[in-house]
Amino acid sequence: MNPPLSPLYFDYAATTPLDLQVKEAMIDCLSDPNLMGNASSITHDYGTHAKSIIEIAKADIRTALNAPSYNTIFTSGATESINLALKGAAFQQKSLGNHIITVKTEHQATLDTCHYLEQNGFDITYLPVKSSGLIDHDSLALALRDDTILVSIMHVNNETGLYQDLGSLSRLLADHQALFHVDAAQSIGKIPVDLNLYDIDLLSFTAHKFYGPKGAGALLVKPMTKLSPQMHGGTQQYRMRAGTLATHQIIGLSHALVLATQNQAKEHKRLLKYKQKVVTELHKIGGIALNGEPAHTIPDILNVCVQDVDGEALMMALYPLAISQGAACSSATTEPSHVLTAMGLSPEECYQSIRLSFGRFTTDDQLSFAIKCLSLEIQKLRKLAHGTRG
Amino acid sequence: MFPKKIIEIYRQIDPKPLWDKVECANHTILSYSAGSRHEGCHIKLQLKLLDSQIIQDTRFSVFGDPFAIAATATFSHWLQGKKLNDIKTFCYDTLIRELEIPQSKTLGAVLVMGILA
Repeated sequence: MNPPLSPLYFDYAATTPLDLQVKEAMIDCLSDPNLMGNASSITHDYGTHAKSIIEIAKADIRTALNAPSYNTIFTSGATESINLALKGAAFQQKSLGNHIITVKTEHQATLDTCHYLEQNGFDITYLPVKSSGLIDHDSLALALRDDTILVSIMHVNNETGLYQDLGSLSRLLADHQALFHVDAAQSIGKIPVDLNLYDIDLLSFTAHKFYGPKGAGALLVKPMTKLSPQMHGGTQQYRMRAGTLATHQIIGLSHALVLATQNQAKEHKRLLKYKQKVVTELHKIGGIALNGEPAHTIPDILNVCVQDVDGEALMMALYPLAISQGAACSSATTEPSHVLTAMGLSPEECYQSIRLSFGRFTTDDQLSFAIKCLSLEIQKLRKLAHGTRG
Repeated sequence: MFPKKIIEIYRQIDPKPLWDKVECANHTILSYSAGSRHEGCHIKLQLKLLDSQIIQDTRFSVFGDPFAIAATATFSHWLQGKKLNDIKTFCYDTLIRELEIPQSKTLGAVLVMGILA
């Protein structure tokens, strides 16, 4: 089996390549001299042209997420959106209370921001999850207090692909004063995100997870919801995020979002077949455990514990494939995954786990090659670890 | 991204089973073990001796990260043909330098170099 010239990409959960249609839309925007203006400079045509194209992008985003009344704040990505949502809500709502609820399996962007808020006098509850990875709704109900001002939960987990039930979570929070923030970085374009169905106050996402450019994200804010700005220096974006808007990035984000939501159902079916094929083949090898309740995981992400095989060794052995053990943002650490640990896996099981994620440009041939590689290398590493025959 | 050298060593490994008791009966075979799965690295090493002095062949098993695998395979290969007395002169720093093992990934190299002590 000859390795490909460059590694085959199976790390779509970390980031996705730019879609050609998105790239063309961005180049058109950058190339158009009429769009070179600052969207805040509404005293001349250059500025108003830029502003009008951004307004169209905002309308496209609201339509794609069925959020007609929401305000869109453009950011540099999901990490900034989450920072703005959490710190902005916490400092704005401080007079109403200082208690915030989040979940142990959240992305580092949320956990680190919560740690920062903790150091600044806020009381944070980190909810546990069940072994399936799902939140126990009773424990959320019990954690809610009169002084709870914010609940932040990720829709789809970036390591396991497990999705939480936004409908029941938002119903549970409906009668409470706490704002509900959802980190949708991994869900948009993969499963339906319809803001008309849920009572969500703040929604964070980033374009590079759905074939848009890196450095372009957004925070959707429910009308009348105020956030304390975290970036100072201007009155742009409802005074909640200062700075000149990056017109081409916004165009890239909105184009990518429209494409992703249009193709979502079709892609879901295709990738589900891929995931099922890999799972079937891995089960033939044996000693495989899926991390995350399969019925509640998106087809794009597969996280498996491969018994008797060190995950890092397997990644090295699978050098013709670009895969990872978990979050790219934590890949420099050697600590076991906080997500898998919260789900009850032992450090040994965490170290034996790898993540494959599929996407728009994954092909049948690539998948067959990956399955062959996985099968061969798992068996080789097991022979190496056991030192026995067979 | 793993260093090409580490990938190349891994690619060249043809895993062989450790010698069992029947095979051991006809030869002098010394068996060693270091580390544990729980610690993240477990290495077993066997030396087949000729005239009780020269290491004729080696076998190993290793569970661990890529650097542990490469360190074990390299050390195992290096031992072949050496006299038992000579191997004590080998310093694990040499192995870490030779394989360019990052500081946070030296567990396997340290374990395998100390396995005969």
